[in-house]
Amino acid sequence: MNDVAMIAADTSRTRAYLQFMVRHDLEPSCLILLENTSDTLQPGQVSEEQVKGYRQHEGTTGIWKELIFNPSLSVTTLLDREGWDYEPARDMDINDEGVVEQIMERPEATFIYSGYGGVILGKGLMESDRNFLHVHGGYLPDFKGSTTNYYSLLEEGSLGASAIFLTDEIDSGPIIRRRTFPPPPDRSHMDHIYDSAARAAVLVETLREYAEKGRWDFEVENNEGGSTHYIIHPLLKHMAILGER
Amino acid sequence: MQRPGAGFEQNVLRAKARTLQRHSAEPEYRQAGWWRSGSGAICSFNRLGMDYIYSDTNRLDAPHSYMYSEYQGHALIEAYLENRFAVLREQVPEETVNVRSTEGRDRDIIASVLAALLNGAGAGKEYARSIRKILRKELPDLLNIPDGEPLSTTEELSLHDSADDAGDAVDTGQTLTAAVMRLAAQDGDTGTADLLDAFLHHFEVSKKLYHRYDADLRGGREGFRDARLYWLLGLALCLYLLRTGRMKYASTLLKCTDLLCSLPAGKLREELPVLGLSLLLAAEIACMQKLAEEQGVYAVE
Repeated sequence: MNDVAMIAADTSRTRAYLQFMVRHDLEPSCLILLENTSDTLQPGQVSEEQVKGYRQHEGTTGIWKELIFNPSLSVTTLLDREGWDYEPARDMDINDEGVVEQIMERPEATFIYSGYGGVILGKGLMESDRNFLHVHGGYLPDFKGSTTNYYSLLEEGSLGASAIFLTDEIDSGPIIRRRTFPPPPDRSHMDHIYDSAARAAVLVETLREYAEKGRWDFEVENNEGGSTHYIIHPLLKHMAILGER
Repeated sequence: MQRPGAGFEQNVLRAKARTLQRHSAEPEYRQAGWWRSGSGAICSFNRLGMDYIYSDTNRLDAPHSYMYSEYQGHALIEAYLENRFAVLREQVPEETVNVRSTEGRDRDIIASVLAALLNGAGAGKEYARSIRKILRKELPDLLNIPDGEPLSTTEELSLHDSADDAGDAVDTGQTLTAAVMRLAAQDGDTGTADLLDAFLHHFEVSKKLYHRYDADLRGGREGFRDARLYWLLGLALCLYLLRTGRMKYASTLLKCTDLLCSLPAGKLREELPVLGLSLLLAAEIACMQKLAEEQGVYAVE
């Protein structure tokens, strides 16, 4: 995909994205890697302890059986193995002036974005002429905001993922593709495994269509309305995980 | 002062405490399954020895972000229930309460909310039965008020009455009071919902509610430490949750009551009407019981 680059951190979500992209031969023209230069794991990153011994749940059937990825396989290991082109970002903060310049120096019109959790793209990038393709973990516009797949499980008994171009208003960019998924077999692994897998599935679908048609077709151009959600209270998170709906 | 619970529950708590005291150096644990920390916040253990951390320190001083919370299984649900029942019971006075002696607007608020809850508040008969069961056991004084009877003629506040003389500020207490009364009367319009969403947003972003905001609901000022503001927000969120079933209101309700349950007992008694917080907690517990049953989580008692 000559006109699509990627800017990403080594998170569980990025690992899912890249493994699915490899599976479907969807190589970005370049990947700019936001390397973690601090001593601690950043939001969205998964520790070896968290995924040590993770195995696909025995009862997994249907779509979740196909959406399998290895959460322990680091981004650089995979990229080196596949021979995909990548370069380190000038800073770990995507809104750093140097990183913004680095992105603007690239020729691609669209960047797949998969950064650290909780980071919002600043004016430097949002006011540029580049598209930032992001996959939100929730079915838009109904479930905007944070931790939305837990709310979705409680209210509708399903997960969602929606590919959008980022705009100034959170989760309100035009929707390219959106899907719902059945409840996962082991909800205690929602954050790093199933939410990431659902987003990766929608990303791949979006990129395959672009690769075939050479353009972005929007499923919903006007993504206004819906409801903004805030970080879910742990009690409700537990109800969603323990529930059988 | 610690208020003894009902016989069965006290025996259960003592049994738990006996188990827990083998693992703890704190002498208070020998008497009950809950105690007050140095900051005055209620701390409670469930049978797995897990503290309910979201109310274990004064959340006006140290707000909790709730980010990336750890999965802890059923133990968290048990810890939540113990925390809420502990505060609910602690706030009930030793002597029988005559709710009619509560003054003015507070009496109207409690009576209206109670009437709404006992009629299901839009969530149906199952919820009405659930809340009635809790009230009968924990807050029988509230049930001395006949169903649906307001204790006085309720003046309906216009949501615009809260503006000050200059017309450019919103009084949070008055606005939320009006919202609670409208929701209790099942009269909430989109204006009420929009205002509730605005206060919900402010609380979620800063974990604080200020006495006043600008007319466009920005720029909070004149202090945020009044427990009454959080009590009113909690009541409004609970009523709206029961009407709509939307989980975002449940989430903010839980954070709001986490904050209230983290405050010193004396402050709660000074700033909230008698049985006001206990009623809110009973209503919330009944909501969570309903949710647990709907989701197929084990029956929560």
